[in-house]
Order: sequence, then C-alpha cells, then structure tokens
Amino acid sequence: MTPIIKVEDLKKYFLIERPSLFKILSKKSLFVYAVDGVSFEIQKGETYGLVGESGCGKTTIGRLLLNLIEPTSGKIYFKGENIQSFDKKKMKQFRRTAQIIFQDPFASLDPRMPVKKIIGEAIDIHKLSEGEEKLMIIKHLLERVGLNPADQFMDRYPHEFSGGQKQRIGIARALSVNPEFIVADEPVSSLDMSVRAAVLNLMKDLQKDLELTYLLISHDLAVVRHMSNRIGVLYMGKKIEEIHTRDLMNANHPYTQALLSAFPRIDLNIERKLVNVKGEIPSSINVPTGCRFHTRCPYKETICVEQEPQIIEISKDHLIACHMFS
Amino acid sequence: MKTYFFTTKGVVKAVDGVNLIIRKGESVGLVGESGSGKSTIGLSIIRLIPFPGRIIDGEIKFHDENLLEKSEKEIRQIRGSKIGMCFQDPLTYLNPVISVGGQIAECIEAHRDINKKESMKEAINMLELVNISDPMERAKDYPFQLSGGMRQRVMIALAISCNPELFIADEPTTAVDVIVQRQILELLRDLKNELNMSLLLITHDIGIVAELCDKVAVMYAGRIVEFGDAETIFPSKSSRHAIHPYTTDLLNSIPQLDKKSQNLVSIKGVVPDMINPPSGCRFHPRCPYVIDLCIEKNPELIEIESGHLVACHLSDLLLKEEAK
Repeated sequence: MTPIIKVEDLKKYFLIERPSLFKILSKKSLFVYAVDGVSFEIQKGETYGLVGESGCGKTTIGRLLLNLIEPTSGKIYFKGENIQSFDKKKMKQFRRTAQIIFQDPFASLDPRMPVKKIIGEAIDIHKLSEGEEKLMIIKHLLERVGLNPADQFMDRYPHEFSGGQKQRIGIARALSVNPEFIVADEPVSSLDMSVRAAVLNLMKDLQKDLELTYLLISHDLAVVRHMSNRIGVLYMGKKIEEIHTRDLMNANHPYTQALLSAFPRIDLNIERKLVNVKGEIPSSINVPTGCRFHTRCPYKETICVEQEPQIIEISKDHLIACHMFS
Repeated sequence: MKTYFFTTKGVVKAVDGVNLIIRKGESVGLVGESGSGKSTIGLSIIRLIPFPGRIIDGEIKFHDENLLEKSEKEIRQIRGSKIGMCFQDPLTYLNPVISVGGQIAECIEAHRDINKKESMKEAINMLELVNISDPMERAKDYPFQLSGGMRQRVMIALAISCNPELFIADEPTTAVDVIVQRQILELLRDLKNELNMSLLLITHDIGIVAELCDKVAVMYAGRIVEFGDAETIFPSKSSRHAIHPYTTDLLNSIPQLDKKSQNLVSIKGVVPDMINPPSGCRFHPRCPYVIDLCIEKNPELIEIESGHLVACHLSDLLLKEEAK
C-alpha cells in the first residue's frame, strides 16, 4: 500500500548569517542545521510520533510536511505524489486534506474572530458549503469536539474560552475541511494537567471515527507512547532510532535510553535503569563530527567521533543509527 | 494562611486557608495546576507577594518566629540566607549585566561577614558544588552566555550560597529538557542531603514530585486537598492510597511511560475562575462523587490515617472503598 506520507532524505537549513560583500573572503555563511537528512513513512490510519528535545527539528519537520516552509533538499510524497511538483490547484486540494493542530491555542486563534468564523473560514476558502448548511456543519463540529451546547459557543471570541476549550476549537478548525492527515504539534503541552487527558482521548476517538492519520510531535515521551503506533526519535536534526511503540522500553540507542530513563515516573514500584548522559545539546550551528550524540554518549568510541553512523534496520520496524549496532 | 490579590476585576483568592508544615531535612512537593496558588504560597513564605496581593490572614512560622510580624529589614536578613528560593525562568531572575560569579558573591557578602576576595572564592566553590565544569571560567560569564541548564544551576547556587535551612524551588525544571531535568533533580536531591536543608518543591509535574519528595501536598483552587507521604499518594508497595477524587483522577489522567496500555481518565470541566470560585468544595463541579453537602459546605482538611490528610466529605467512604 502506498504510504500516505513518505519523506526522503529531508533537509532544512536556516541561513542565519550571510557573508557580506566586505567579509566575503573571510567569512562563510552560517546555517542552523535544523533537519539534516530525515526519512520516514506514515501509513494510512496510523499515528507516527516524533520525539526529541527542543531544537531537534521536530516542529520544522511538521511544517515541511505541510509545505508551510520549503525544504533545502529532499522529497516529500503525499499518497505517492511529490508535493513540490503540485500546481496551484493541486496544492489547494493538498492543503485541505492535510491540516495542523498547533501547540499554543492562545496564539493560533484570531482574537478578533468569533468561533463560527474561525472554524468557517477554511470551509469558505475551499468552498465546501455555505449559508445555513455551513452553520450546521460548524455546530456539528463543535459538538463533536465536546463543546456542548454548540449554540452557546458559536458567537463567542477566543478570550472567553479556557486553554482546553481553545485547543478543542483548534481541533474543530482542523477537522472542518474533512482532512485525512493531521500534524499535531505538541497538542497538549500548553494545557493544564487535568484537561490533557480529555484532549488526547478526543484525538484518539476522532482518529477512530474519521480514519485520520496523525503525525504527533511532542517532547513528552509518555504522550507519544500513549498515542502512537510507531515512534521516531530525533537528535539534532537526525532520526537516530525508529521503533514500534510496543518495543519502546527496549530501545537500543543510548540517547533513547537516556530519554526513557530520565522521564519522571509516577509509580514508585518501577525501577529505572539509569543511563547517565552529561551536558546539554550542542549548538546546531557547529554540529559535532561523526555521530552527533558522541559529545554526550556514555559508550563513545573513536569511530563515533570520526564517522557518522548510517541508519539501519536491526529487526522488523526497528531502525537505529549507532555504531554499536553496525 | 490566606493570600488574596485585590484586582480591579475582583478579589482573587489565590491561597485560601492553607496549612502546611515542613520539617527539618524534609522535602515537600506542592503540586497543582496553573492558578491553583502554589507559587503564591512560595512567595508568601518569603514575603515577596507583588502588588496588588496581600497576605490577609494566618501566620508563617519559621522555627518559632512569625515571619509576618518581621520588619522589612529583618525579613531581608532571612530571605536569601536562611530561606533560599529559585524560580522557573532563570533568565528573568538573574541580573543580565553582572557576571554570574559576581551575583553569587554579592549575595554572600550581603549575608556574611566576609571580604570581596573571599566571597568570590566562595562563589566559585558554589558553582563547583552545583556541578558546573570549569567554575573559575564560568564565574566570569554573563547569564546570556550560559545554556538553560547552566542558568538553572547558577540559580540554585545562588539560592544555597548562604546555607539556607529552607530551600524553595518553584518549577525548577520547567524550562529545560527531560535529560537536563533529571540532572537538576539529582543535583537538588544530593544538595538537600549534603546540606541537610528542607526543600519545598513547587511544580505542576506530578512525576517530579514522585521522584524527589518525601511528602506531597496536592493543591486545587487555592486549597490543599490532600497531603501525605509520597508512598501514600503515589502507587507503591504501601497499602495506602490517594483518596481525594481530584488526586486519583489526576493520577489516572496522566499517560505513564511504563504502562502497557492505559485508558486515560478525562476529568470533565475546567479549572475554576478564582474570582468566583465554586461554593463548598471547589472541586465539586468536576467531581464524579458529588453530593449535596459538597455544594454547601467546604470540607476541612482532616487526618484520616496517621500522616494522611484529606479534604473531602466522602473521605471515609472512599477510604473503605480503597481498602477493598
């Protein structure tokens, strides 16, 4: 089956300093290597989780997939078609089928629009419906995301809602154009603890009912584990491990192990194997040579400094980029 | 203790009748959602409540002295020396135009009878104590030159530089990633044991409390709803369990890394508006067990087992239920 999303060797470098005419001889351009050669596939109906620390490039990947920014190189296929080759009409259609839920519901809803306009805007753009019928669709969407009774919410403005409710509005907006693929970029990290579960449960229900495919981007391993079928772990713009969720606790890459062991537990019965990792993420302008994790890795050897490990499949659905496994 | 904020929109009862005891050498975790009043408690203890807030009732006893009766001069002597505090966002609390070593030295000079040269030496020792590599060089750096984790370590060094007896850490790891978070938690634990401090850890992340604290206080809408040993509140080998519906629902609503499959409990409703909080028990609009009494009367925080306090009208019933 053709995967709904296929990414091949995706790269995105952000230029932060251009050599000026006077400095041209002495200075090179400076880049942030946000995403540096990432490949993965997402099958229809599954949730693919991308996890990593801040600055690892996970949000950039989400934006690249929706063509909100242009990649430096690499290819993105949507249902087998390269999205960079889309003409204007096809791109509009693509934008309808692929939607995004943002991290910060406070910033992503227009404060001067009432809810019905926020949700209705996309319906207008894609000319899916109008008049009475459109209002019925919006009402139905609001009820579907748990804002009952919908009549009461239609004419309110974003500031009248709590964080959890705003995120529900954000979800309703994404659903308004019947998408197939949704990028959820940290959908619950700005919400209070007691409303997170409700939003996650809602996302799961919607996936089941509407056969949605999710790319879930989060720094929270437990959230990713709870929601995803497969998980890709990013470190400094590289995918260093990809693993089926059921095997996550047996991940092999030292970085994944470090993430797992650092995660706070609630159940005091659980013993954690501690993988001690020193220091913090190095700068993504001066990327370390060889394996990017070597500056912090407890198992570092000479080869790790000199040579970059390739990502290889060590068992079914389990890919890893580490010299210990090649 | 009660701390209210008198805003133009009305009185925000941020902390509304809270009793909390922290013993010597003990670490107490104060968990709650945003707006539950947990940070206000921290700030109240060191009397740094910003305008228009005021501590309107109660007392804060440090050893046997009421901090609320102290003069501004006396409280400044205690703040920073006997009670240290560190905050969520180090970049806004550190002075951007003084080197980090200089800031720590300044604090040491203010509270101890010590000359400039020695205080700088002491500051470098402090940086070493919080595991900053190459402390001599780092002491000369300014906050913007350091990474997030390093800044948080500097904040901690600053707070412990005068050997405080009580260390209040307000969301010390919220701004850093999970691996650095682990490093900082380990550091806090080691320092607490080495220096025999008491620790009040204020956080919204219940997992951090489970990792670090002996005792846990769960806050909801300005009140403590449950207090007990970490073994009581969190799942553990102990036969005791969390009782308050808010605590139990909260624990079941958080995805856990180690559980095979999990149905998350969604808590209905939203965090209440603190200007017009719900009557009676403030959790009643969201509680699955609500009875008429809950709407009418605020439950007192009572001891249902030794060392385990719960504020719920149905605590006896729920305790029996748990025992089954």
